[in-house]
Amino acid sequence: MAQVEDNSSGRSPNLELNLVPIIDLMSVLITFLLITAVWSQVSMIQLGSSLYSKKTEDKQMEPPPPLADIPLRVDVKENGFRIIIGSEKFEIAKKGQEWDWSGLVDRLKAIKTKYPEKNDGVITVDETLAYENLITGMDTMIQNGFQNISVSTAQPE
Amino acid sequence: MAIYAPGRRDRHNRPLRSRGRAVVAMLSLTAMVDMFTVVAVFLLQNYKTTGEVIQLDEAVPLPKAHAVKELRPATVVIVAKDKVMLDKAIVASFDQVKEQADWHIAGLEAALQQKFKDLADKRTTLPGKIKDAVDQPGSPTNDPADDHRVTVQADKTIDFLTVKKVMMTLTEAGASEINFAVIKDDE
Repeated sequence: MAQVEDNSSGRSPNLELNLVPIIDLMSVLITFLLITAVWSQVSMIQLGSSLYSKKTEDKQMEPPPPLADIPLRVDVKENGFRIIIGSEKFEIAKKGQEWDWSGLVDRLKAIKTKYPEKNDGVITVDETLAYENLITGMDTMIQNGFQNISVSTAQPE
Repeated sequence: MAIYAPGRRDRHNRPLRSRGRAVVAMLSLTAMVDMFTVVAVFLLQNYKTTGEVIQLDEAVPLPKAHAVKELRPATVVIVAKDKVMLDKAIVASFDQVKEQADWHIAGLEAALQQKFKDLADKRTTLPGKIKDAVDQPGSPTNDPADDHRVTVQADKTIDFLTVKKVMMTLTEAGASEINFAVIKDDE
């Protein structure tokens, strides 16, 4: 037991702190937390106003996003990326066998700096590519300030 | 192995009783309480009130992402390498979906429409009405459109065309919101 010794007087009274209830409480608490713990970090990526989303009749027309007249599109292709913003086009070729994701980040940052209010974009992915590329592309766009992402049914140009 | 009481012993290993004062063995519990406190604080910090919304399947590796949102309860469609499932019930085989030219997956569409119908019927039952009455109007748990929310749990290595077919079918079946399940990447 934890104890405090007081040597001031002749006889030393031992002041004992009773730790048993604390240990009981801790044991129950830890057991409960361990049983109910969720270890997996599963989350989700949300689609914006997707081209897939079905418009219902009772749904009111949403106002267009800012700078809707300057569309942003990111194509993920077999040989790299193509970024279209308004009338401008940028190509980012693969670095060896890998897609140049850092190059895409730099380009998206530059677009965000030029059009700070823009928060929407469209992503197209080659049908033969892995689904993981869609998620990585969407994740990259969201991280760089384009939260409202749509997925296009069209093939990249 | 025998357990001996602590204390001094004679040459025959018998306890000495001559001293008169009893030996008091004190067990120091302070270190144990310290450790318990640290573990309890760690577990409380990582505690999640939402629980496990979807069950992870080792056969379906999910992609990783940084900019994620908290998973909400929804109808789960699993696209694995060999099958397409709706809430653990197989509705189509992966090869069949991959090979077909039509983007509509009939089995998935029918099963999902039935699921949405069941959820709508559930709202008209007494427990559903009580739940609606108890929930705050307009709260996230009281919106009928939430019944049409779908989470796609797809293998990260499958081709995007198959995912597109699944998404198109979900939309045609009446899904109001499609989300993709991902593993949160903390790096």
